[in-house]
Amino acid sequence: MLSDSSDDRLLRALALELQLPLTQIARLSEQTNKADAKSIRKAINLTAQQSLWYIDGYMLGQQLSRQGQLPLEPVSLAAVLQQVTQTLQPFAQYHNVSVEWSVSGRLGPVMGHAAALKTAFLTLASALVRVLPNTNDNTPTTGALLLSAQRTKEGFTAGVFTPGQSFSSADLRHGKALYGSARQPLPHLTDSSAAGIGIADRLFALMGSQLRATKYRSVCGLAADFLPSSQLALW
Amino acid sequence: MAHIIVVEADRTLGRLYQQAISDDGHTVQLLHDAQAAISAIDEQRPALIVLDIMLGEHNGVEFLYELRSYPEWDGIPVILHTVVPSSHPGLGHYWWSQLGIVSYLYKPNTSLQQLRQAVSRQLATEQSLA
Repeated sequence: MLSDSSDDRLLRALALELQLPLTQIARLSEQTNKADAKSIRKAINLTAQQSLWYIDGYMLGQQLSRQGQLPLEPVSLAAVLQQVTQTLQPFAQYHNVSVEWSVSGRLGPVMGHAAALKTAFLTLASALVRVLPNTNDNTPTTGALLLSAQRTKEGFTAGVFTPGQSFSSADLRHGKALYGSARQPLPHLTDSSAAGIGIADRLFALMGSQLRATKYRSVCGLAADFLPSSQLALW
Repeated sequence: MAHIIVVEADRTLGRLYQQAISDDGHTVQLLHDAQAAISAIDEQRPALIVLDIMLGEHNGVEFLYELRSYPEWDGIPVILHTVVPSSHPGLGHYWWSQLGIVSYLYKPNTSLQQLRQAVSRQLATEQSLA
């Protein structure tokens, strides 16, 4: 009998999630003798890359959760969002999605874990790239993703936002309870196992935050809250 | 040559399936969700539907119930092509015949060549019955 800890459920969700990119790679590799072999190799590379991000995110979450108290340090949200945007660009472009980052005003450092923050945003954003309606049969359209951070009363909020996706925190809570036991725990957001969102949520939780549905400049998204670092900062 | 509808949520895989089946000379219309597929069938009746179960919003099972609720579409054969294993409790064989599923393909293990063969086999069966 399998135990049903949240880690087991997340691992099952990850296994379900990885079926898709691995199937894509298997089918794409059947086409490498075609004329557009170069673009197929690129597709294989980017598809494999996203799977590796997921696996890295899961492994990092597992490793950090075994450490008990996570050593938080001052981290620049703006720098993390910029790095994630750059890393994500080729993958997003392949899916006809534009990715931008936006930081309102001067943000001081937040208390976080640099590697966990970067991995969480990368995993979350790549999961959302995959669910955007980026093309249809005849007319390629462009989806858009915005990685953004802004100041709040208590500290800072940072997240991944996209127009055209409406989603509630209740849906998110309900979906999180179904990770690993449903193939589509977040049907309003994705037709997958939503493992990328789950992995990001676990990393945020390890930093004392949690993913929630929110709005920023009239676009909906998933974001987490962070406390400011108490070191000297420009305000 | 036949008009075939492929309902596949993932765009990368969908394009690969569309291309592979088109290579045999068929017209393949690729749809990514159940509602679009129903509308497409209403515009042009396909000879065959290749259907994924895991679709956004309305899943493949809802699509099948909708499809089979219209008597004029009753005879359209459906090949199930999905990551949901056939051992899944929701995929009992009694259910297949009820909903006109003529064949099941486990997506992770089905090559493009095998998909093309399954489509050709089913179209040949349909022709022999006609």
